[in-house]
Amino acid sequence: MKTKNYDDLRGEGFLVPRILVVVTVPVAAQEWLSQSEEEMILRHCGYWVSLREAPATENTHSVTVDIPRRNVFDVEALRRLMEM
Amino acid sequence: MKASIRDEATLATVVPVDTAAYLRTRGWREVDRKDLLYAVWVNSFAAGDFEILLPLDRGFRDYTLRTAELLSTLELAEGRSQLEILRDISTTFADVIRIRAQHEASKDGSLSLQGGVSLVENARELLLAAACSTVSKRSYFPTRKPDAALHYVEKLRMGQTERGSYVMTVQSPVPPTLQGALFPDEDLPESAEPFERQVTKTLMRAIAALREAADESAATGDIRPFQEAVPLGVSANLCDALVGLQEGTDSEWLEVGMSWAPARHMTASTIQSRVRLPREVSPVLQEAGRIFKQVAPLEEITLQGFVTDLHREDSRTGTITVSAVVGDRFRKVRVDLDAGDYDRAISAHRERLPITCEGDLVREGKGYALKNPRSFCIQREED
Repeated sequence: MKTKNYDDLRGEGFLVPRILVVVTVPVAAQEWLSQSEEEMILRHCGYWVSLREAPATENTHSVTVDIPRRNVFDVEALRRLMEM
Repeated sequence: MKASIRDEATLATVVPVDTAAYLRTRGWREVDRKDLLYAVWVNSFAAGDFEILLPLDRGFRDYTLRTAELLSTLELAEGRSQLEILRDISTTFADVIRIRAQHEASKDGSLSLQGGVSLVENARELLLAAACSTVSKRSYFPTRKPDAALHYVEKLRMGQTERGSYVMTVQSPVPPTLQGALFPDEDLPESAEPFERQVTKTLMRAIAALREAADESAATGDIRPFQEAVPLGVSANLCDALVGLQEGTDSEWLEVGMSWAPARHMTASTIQSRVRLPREVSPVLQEAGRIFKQVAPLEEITLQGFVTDLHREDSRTGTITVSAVVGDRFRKVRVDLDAGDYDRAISAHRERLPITCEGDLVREGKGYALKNPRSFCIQREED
């Protein structure tokens, strides 16, 4: 991600906490959504990470951020985040 | 007008206490609060129930974002434009005086630059006149103005101008009414209110009185209606400022309006909050101002004349009467002197020499008196 965005999400001082959510989608866009009478499928999922304690960077252009795979951005995770 | 305020610099100027005071005066209730962090306010409107998250610290990195959200919520809830709301929030703690000049050329919302200069100058004079009258009700305030009045004028702010003919706004900051004060404002005399609010009240009361006096005076050709309005705050300075505003802007009519600060409870609801003065009253005001100045005390004059009477009841002070030329004829002027000057007055009287004394000449009853006498001296022939 761009260094500016990284810095916007990083550190303390926000009234409303910030998290980074990355949504993965199929490489071929047409595979993203499929629907039938039984179900509607949006392929792949979102992952979240808090950059609150992330270190400052000397990169001028972009920064690579690791997101743990267990941080799936689902209903459960959102509930837990809202209660923190 | 629907315009969302997204300008970071503008949003950053919104102060949490101002916003809180604004919300309170508009009937919002604080239902949750985390000190130094946020407060949650709620209110019900025709459009539904609303909740506002008020950041309590301008240091938050997302302060402008939160403020922008707050403004959008208020816009929806109150059905008013964000610009209007923002203006009201920033003037929660100020009485706002709107001086509106109506004339043909201002229909496009502009005014000649020279007219603008005059508008600003005379607006200051107008407020200064009201502040002087708040200190003491006099018909004319010549050069030296009371400190309280000068101090007040220093704190005035010029607000953004508004469209609609040409509208200049002046913000007069006023302390908020605090809950739990021992006596509500209604129970206190006006003199117990903050000076700032006394001035704005005096201003509106005086202009309304002036408007009436002008009508009466025009009908009867008598100065008396103006003189009777002096206790309400009318003065030569007020007349001059209004004439200056009218002439400077060449307006068809001039309107002075007041929006009382929401944070300060407004007592005395009988005071008009808008008075319009048509162009034709200007000459009457001008003449009233001129006459006021003629009969008003003359400050810092040098009186010159002969001592005609000496009167002393104790050893510290004495009262003398001086026959001196005032205006165009000889008049008797009373002067209270300290012991030293009184002795000098006795010598002058004995030797039949004229004296000079500096001071402020005022009317007292049917006669005159010289107040704050200083530099008393006898004029000997060799002078």
